[in-house]
Amino acid sequence: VIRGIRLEGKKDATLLVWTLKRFDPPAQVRIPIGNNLTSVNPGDKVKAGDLIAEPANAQSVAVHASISGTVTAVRSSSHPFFDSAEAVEIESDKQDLKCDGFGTERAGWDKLSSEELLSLFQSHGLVNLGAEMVPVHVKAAAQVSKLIINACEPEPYLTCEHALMMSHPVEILKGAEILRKAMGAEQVLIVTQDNKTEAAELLKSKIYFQKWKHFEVQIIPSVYPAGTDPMLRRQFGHEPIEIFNAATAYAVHEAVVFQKPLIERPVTVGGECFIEPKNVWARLGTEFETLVKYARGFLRQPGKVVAGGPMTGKAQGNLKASLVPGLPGLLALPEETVKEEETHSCIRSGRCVEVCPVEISPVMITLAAERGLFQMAAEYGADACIQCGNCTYICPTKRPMAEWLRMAQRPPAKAPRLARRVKKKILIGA
Amino acid sequence: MKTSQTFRATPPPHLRDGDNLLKIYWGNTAALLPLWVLSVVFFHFQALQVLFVSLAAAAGADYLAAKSFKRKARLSDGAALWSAAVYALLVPCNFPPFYAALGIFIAILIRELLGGRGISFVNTALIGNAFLQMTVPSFYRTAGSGLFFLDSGGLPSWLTLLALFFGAALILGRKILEWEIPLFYIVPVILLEKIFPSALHLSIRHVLFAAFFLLPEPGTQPLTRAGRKIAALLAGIFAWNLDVVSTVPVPETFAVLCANILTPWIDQWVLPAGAAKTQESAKA
Repeated sequence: VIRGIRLEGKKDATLLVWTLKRFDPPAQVRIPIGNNLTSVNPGDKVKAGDLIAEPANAQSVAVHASISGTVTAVRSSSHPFFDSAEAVEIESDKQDLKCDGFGTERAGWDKLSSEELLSLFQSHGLVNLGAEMVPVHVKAAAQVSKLIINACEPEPYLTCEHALMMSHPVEILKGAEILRKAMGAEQVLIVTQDNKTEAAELLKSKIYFQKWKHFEVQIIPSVYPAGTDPMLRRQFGHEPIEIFNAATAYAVHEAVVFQKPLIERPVTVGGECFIEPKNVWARLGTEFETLVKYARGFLRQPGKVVAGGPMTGKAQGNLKASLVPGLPGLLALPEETVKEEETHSCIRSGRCVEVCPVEISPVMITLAAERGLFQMAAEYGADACIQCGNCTYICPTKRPMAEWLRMAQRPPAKAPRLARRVKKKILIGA
Repeated sequence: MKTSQTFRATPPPHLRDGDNLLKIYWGNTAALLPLWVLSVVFFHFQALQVLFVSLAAAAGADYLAAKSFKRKARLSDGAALWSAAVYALLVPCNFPPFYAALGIFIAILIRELLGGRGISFVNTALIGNAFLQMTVPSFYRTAGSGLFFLDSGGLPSWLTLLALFFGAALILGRKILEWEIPLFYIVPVILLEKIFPSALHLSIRHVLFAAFFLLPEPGTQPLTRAGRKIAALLAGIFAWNLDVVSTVPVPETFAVLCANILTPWIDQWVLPAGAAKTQESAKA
């Protein structure tokens, strides 16, 4: 039994058409380069797919220009997840020139050895297209027997991987096979949810035609947060597994077979506030303002603009940040969906305990953390929290549970003010 | 629409469940309406008097507590009024208004002393009721003066049962009442009564009322589902036991109160699996 919440999917609006729409490349991109040192200077001409930053160490990947044009600056700029990050700014020449070999089939790609594949992943800038953006060559270096392709997309609104599975199932399967070879794994398991059975059936039929006996498709219930990476890891217990997103498998296929570095990814531009919510192919570094234009702008004033899913994504203060590989969607949610109600003191309804997927006691942890009793919070399993947000979602008194849980996982040196004030009082159960 | 604007940036999750505190308390109170309508139909002015006196006393106590503890009065969340509505149903209609008011007034003050709404682990309405049963038990002995003190068998008692089930159906659909709770409470009561019958027999209306409206009170139940089942089971056993050994007028209410008092202990014993594992590994 998977504990969680059956959230309203709200996925239909972006699935009216299965295709991912491709627009002309944006006029300007800002590509975050992380810790890497850039190899370009302002004024340099680049083509799409050209290297703009070498990997700083064995744990990082190369970064490539996503459009052709002129490098205008290398400076710190807005990032969807952090306050700011070093980024390379490129202004488009509107010709969309590609680097040498881009899109042509690599000779002998199916005979590459594991080491060659891993170094190819690194040089083509491949990261897993999930929020953590772990480099593919780092993940693929693990020795496991089972490779999991996560095609769940458990959060509401997000459908870009669903659309990708419907439009490019064979590429995803071939990408997964390349990953399997690189890792030396025996089995590939594609996990998806029961709200995309048609995609699962499509994949199954393609697997049948490929005659790949080591591929398997598993359908799990669409109960949030089942289908997130931590929950999949939990589901497989101590089995050695490694998890990649379906979109990552596609990117691996394009990089290895068609020599395309990671310069674009599928993105859901969704939510009730867009005029035309849809799934698009967007170049990395595309400003959010341009993504909004892809959906033909706002129909009405959004209450929140969220980078990522509505349960774990980061709300954006403005539209200045740009697309990074780990971002599956940009959502504009109306005020009535994201309105914040008055918070009350806990009434011990126990609902958070009921929906907690890792079966800890969010209520006791947050009550303890509120009072600065972080030791006690740890005893109730604070460290096992996966930050799925279910407890905050379900809380009838609207307490910011997830924030207290985050604080319980990383206790501040100085206890919060409320904690200092009430510490002397007796806490029931303390 | 312009895109060069700012938005609210608050931490995730950005979606919230539609249910909230107000809906829980006012929804519960609405589920009592059929019972109150019946009560007014059968006992006219007396029923209304007890109800209004209790509501006024609860509101007064809540306001007084808010003033003395220097916090915002929160009558609008419905917790105090819900307690008063439950309390007044269990008070016989021929009760002197002063005592009726005193019971709930003291109960609300005790609730505040135990930490206030949510933290207080005993059912507020039952504290008031227990207080009256211990101070002025004689009023409970006169039969026929309230929905829950009628002789069974007549039309009013059948209608009361109907209203009880109707109210329970309302809160069952809203996740407030879990179906296991009445089951785990009622089954042991009935079984034990059948095997070891007592002289005074429990009233089925009281048992049902306790199962549907007293046990699932927010804040007084253990946090885990297993814990809630244990609490309901214990309440059932207590109800039978008190009926056999004690002379309290309404043992069902005392039984729930006893189960409430055990709630913090049950929460210590019955932990969610993940939390239990953490504590075990900490001990090892």
